[in-house]
Amino acid sequence: MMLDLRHVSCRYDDRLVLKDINVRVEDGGLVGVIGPNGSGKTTLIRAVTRAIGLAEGEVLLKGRPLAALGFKELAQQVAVVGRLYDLDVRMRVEDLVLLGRIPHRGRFRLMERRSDLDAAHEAMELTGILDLRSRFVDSLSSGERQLAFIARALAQEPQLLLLDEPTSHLDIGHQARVLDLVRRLNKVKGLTVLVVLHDLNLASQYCDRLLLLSDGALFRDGTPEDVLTYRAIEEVYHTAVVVTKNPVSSRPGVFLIPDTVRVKET
Amino acid sequence: MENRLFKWLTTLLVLIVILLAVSALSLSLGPAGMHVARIVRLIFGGRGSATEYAILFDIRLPRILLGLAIGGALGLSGVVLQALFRNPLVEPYTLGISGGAALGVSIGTVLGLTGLVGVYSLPAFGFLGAACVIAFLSMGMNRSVLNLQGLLLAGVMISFISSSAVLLIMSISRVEDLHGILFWIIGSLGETDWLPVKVSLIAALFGLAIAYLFCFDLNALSLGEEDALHLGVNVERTKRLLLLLASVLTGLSVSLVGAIGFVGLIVPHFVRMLVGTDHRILLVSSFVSGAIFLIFCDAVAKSVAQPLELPVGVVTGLVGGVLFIYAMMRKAKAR
Repeated sequence: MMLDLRHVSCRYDDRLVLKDINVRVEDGGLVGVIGPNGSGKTTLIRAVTRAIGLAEGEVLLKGRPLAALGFKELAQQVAVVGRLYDLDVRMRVEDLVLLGRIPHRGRFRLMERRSDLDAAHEAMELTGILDLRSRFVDSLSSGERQLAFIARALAQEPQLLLLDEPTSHLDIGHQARVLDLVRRLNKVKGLTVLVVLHDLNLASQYCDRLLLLSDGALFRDGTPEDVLTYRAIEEVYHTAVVVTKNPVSSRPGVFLIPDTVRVKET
Repeated sequence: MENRLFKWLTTLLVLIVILLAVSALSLSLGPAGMHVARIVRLIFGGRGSATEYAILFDIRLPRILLGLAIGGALGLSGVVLQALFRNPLVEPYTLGISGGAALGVSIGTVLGLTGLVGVYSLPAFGFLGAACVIAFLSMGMNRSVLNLQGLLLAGVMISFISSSAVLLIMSISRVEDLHGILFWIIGSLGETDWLPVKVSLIAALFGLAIAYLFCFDLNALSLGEEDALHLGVNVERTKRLLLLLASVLTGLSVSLVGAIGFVGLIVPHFVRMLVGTDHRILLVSSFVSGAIFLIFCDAVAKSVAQPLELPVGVVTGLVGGVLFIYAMMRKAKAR
């Protein structure tokens, strides 16, 4: 069992943002987290990275409670790719990727070892950005930048990869490129993945299992077919939708119904 | 990749050579004059008058070493604080530590307490003032999550309050006191006593060693606090420790030589343009460059208007500001 959340609750100030979450993620799972804005998706990720303390419950990583792991030990096993953002510092891609080696190095070891360079090289190779290695991060396009951050996470050589809306602000081509890569890492390298996605269709196409959060609580947990029903979506998102099937992948596809159309029909 | 260490060592070597050159220049400058060749003969040939030795080793050398320690400490504090706050406008004086020190000195001066502990009275009052501000800021650090933006605002407010209070004190104080306070605030390296030189030198080098242990944490923090956490950095502990380090170094510097401005702001920027953003080279380069900059400005201050000596704080501002605008314009043109 890679990840085991037991009765996890979190609060910001007085507001309870995660309520009694119970989730287990198997080794090698590819699990998507969906839900409306403010439903606790990002907080769920932050609870696993120890960025936020738990009000109640516990999180186990490979059977060990997070609280017993040091920050460094945690970072050796769990890597995170966040929402796309601008870097304040001017840094080359390979230097950014090498930052991923920080959890694996001692305080007194100044220069990179061969193993650090190899891990960074492999991460850039996997993400297909080897030819961008000497470019400055701020000169990259949004899609390339996100791939660079994924490479940094891979350089950590994690067992669990957490992604928080990795495809926001990306065009459909780059969305596919990023998520194809994530899926490939999951299937080929056996990396366990927990990914927060806003786009229900992307979640449906790429994830084997979905967690639907509503107002801090786990509303549904199951395969895309189980979770993405029009009833569940209407109840959680308060939006009228039609759920169909992707004719090629036969996974569920979700279409929203605009207000004007609905008025015309009724 | 492999040649990076070589590149860094070369950079460092060049900086140290410049440091030695600037020190030699400063050693040869002074009201009594003295040619560099003569100094070399004095040191290695062992022939010179007692006066010459006294000028060299009791007046000029301590001043240079003080410049090394203070310039290094301010350059280091500046680069550490800019990394922690991820704000290029932050400098060692932004947190109000220099303001507190200035207020301490002003109060001590107008109350006529400057003779209390001999020549160390002004530094003692300065350090007291700085320590009060540090203690006040640390109260904000007791919370489980240290809010750096709040701390920054508090520091800016402390600076305003203390500079107003200093102005108030100056406006009601006697002319002699006024002059004393003003000169202290502008700052000068004219301290020829060995004790403060040794104390500041040891503190600065110790500070560099401590900060250097955190060079990877600082690299990670340049991505943001949460990203640094994801890379296994104990963010809260690192922030607190390095903030305290920079504060103490700043407080010590300011109380010994006054509020010499600009070193901690400008040096990190220059060095970043030169060596990039990796703190493995940035920290030590900022230290050495801060020393170079301050020793050079001090050499200018004591020699351009002889026999008059300009306050070094004025020179750092003028030289540093003009150089910086020039560098920025060149960089803008290059793009």
